[in-house]
Amino acid sequence: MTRPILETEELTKRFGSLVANDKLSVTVEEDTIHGIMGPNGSGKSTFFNTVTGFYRPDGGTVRFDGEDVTGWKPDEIARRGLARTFQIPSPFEDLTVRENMLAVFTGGIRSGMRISEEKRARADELLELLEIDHVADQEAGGISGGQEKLLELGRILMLEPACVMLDEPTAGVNPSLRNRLLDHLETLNDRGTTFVIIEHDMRVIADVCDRVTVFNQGQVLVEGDFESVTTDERVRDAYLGGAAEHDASLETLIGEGSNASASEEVEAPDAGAATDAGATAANAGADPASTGGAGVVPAGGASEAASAAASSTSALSGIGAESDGEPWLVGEDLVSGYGNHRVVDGVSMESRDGVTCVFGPNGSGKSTLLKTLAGVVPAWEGRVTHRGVDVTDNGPAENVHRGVTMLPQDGGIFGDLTVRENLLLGGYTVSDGAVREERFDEVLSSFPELEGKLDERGRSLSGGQQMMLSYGRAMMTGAEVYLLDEPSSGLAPSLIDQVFEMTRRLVESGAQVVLIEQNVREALRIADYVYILAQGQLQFEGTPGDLTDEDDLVELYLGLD
Amino acid sequence: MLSSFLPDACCREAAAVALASAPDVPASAPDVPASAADALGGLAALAGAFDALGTQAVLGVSLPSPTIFAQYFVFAVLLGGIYGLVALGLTMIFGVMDVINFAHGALMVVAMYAVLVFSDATGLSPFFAIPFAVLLLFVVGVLIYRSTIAPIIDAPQENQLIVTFGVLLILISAVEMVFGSDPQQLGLDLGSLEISGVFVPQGQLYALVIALVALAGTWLFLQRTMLGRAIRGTADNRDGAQYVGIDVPRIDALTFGIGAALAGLAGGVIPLFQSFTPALGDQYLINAFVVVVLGGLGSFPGAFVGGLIIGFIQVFGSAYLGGSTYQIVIFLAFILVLLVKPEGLLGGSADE
Repeated sequence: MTRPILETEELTKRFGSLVANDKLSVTVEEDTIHGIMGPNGSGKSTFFNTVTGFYRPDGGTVRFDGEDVTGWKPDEIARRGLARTFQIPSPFEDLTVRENMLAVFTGGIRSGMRISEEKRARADELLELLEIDHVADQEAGGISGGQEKLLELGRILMLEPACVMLDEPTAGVNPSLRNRLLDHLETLNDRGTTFVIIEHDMRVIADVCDRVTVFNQGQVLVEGDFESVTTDERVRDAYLGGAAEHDASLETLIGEGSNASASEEVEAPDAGAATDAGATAANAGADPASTGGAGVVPAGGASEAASAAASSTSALSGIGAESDGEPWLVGEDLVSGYGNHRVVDGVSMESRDGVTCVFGPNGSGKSTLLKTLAGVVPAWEGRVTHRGVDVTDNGPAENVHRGVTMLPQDGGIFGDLTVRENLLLGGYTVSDGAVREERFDEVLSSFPELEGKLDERGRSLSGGQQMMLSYGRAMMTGAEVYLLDEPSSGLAPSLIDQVFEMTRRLVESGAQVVLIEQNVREALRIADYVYILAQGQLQFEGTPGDLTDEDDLVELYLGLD
Repeated sequence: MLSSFLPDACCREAAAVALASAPDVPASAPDVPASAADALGGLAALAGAFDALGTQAVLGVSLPSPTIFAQYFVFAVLLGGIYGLVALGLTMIFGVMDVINFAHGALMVVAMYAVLVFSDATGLSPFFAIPFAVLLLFVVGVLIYRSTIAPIIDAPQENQLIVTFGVLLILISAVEMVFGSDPQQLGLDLGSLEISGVFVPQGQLYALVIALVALAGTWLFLQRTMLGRAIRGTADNRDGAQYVGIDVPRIDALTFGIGAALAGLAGGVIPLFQSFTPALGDQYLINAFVVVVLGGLGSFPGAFVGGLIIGFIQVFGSAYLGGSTYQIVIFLAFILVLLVKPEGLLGGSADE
């Protein structure tokens, strides 16, 4: 707490008429870990980009380590000692992991001529520290998402920066890896590195951050230590959209002492919402299942329709799905991977009525398994059947026609197309224009935030809005089996609940949902059946009831046996 | 001479047509373009001819009269429209598939000879042959895509470029083997419209109208139809497209087919106003590449804006700068745009 290392004063960044950063004055003390929180679209990532020189500020100054670095180029700022990571890691895909580390220019252009021994030693040390040394000689394009995050951090650390800005370092990272990562951060912090972290995971903020700044709508809402910030009423309102709508306070979401009873407490109000749709204001208009074939049913009729939803056909499942207790999508002894890298190693799984959750550490093959089921990644061995028909050799497009839709982790939206066009293309396989229109309206009522942005480009949306869009687009296909690859990754807590709520609605409309989720505790609330994967193999399958002992869960999750 | 062949060819004939049909041209004037064109370049000759007339008309004043300026203007717009049409199919394939289609010019040549064969065989007006050429080229395009591009669509871009270059050589050689490399023409005599002293060659006028209709039609197709949106979606995010059930290889085939059909349209209208050889396609293609980059990769209006710019530089450049200086100006403009606005004047995505 000696002196400020990074200070911004009235920092402003505009995109057209949108003021993404509105006179932000933030002070980061040396040797601290400084958390930045805020709902989606509150300007966190823009702040990072403006501070680190990727955007030119429209006003205000940035001072780093006593020097005015406003308007410097990103590489100059990085070499000055202020480094950053991105929300989406972008390694040099054709280089190996080690080469990626060595490719960092530590001392300007001269360091590119010859790689010194110290640099090699440092790279090896970091690879070992971050526990990605076993993939050091693989091409970075082929490593898992979690490993990419670690590589991204490793590359930054090659610069030996005085201050590191991390954009959602734990998004899409499993708990054990997250804890490891946080340990590394604290170790490095003890050695004198300052960290600024954008983070949605409250536990991370609570665990490691000395100070927290909360952004909302491009401005600083509150600044202080974690305790004072999370008890601040304004912060709750910003996140939860009015405390009255939501029983769960931030403390409960943090779930610090999350044993089984704590998570049941969280579940209680949501379970109520399912049976009493009219009472839950937030969801009354956002009920895709109940509005069904009858068009837009007013909120009063929602509960009635909801009870019938399981057996009736709604517009959102145009295939005519009706629960029959059978698994519709079945994978048997699947083996697949990339190049000569075997990622999924003999896994059998089924989509069941309700939500089928797939858990597992990073790199365990969850995404690849889902992609193999969807036909995006070809199966090397084994077979996939949909309603008894062999679809092993189908491409993803054919599977969407059959009613099997996957939502990729990055959302896969069309950045250059408008929101409207994105949604309409979701209904590409729907030949009946009336059905498409009806679903379009339902999706909009589920995600009212998108309604005002129909004519804006996909890429102009914030991260959370983009995920909403990809979720809505997937719903436009009207599938009977949804394969969701971490739809909640990187979303604000209030939105995570909404995503889980939407997932439940899909189930109520008669669809079977396979869900990959990093946040096991949250996902267990809505899971009807669970698969746990580690190192490409199945470690466990059964109902959530079989998973009551958390120690067992942790062991299974880590593949300790 | 390669660089100046193209404008000379089309403008020489336009000039000849314009002059031949002008009733008040002095008896000596028609000889000027006919003899001078080969040596000096058609447009310069044309300009000279009009200059001579203008000078006579205003008694020794050497500046061109408004009429002559208007005449250049008309020629520039007509030529620019043709360039825009040539660039349209090129920019579409480029924007959607990221494939630089070197065979575009060769596809145009196939269309030119298709129009010739169809007209000769049926005795119908070449205007009926143009839709035939468009359909034929669509089929040819799909076949070329399926047989050569599809197997290597995931390969690096230069592989696809080289493959389309191979297709170019095969197509051009095939046309030469069948038809020889002598210039061919339809023997049309469409004549010119005269509007207060300004001549509008009808062949080029029809070509321009067809080009504008093609632009509007293609744009509406891409913006308003589900299939069009699917093409733009695929251009935007190929991975994302498959998750909504778009059959990406099929969209690629369709896109290449449409791009080839647009090449067919461009190739089909060129015989309306100039004679052609198997080498003509390449000469158009060189400037078409400049047009595409100038206007913005994948931008449809950009193709026409770029086409017009090249048309104006070429017509006015050859009138006032002499020789082939205009080619230098074209590439200076090209470099200037790349420096000032590297994404092209109307740069952006395929949907703009």
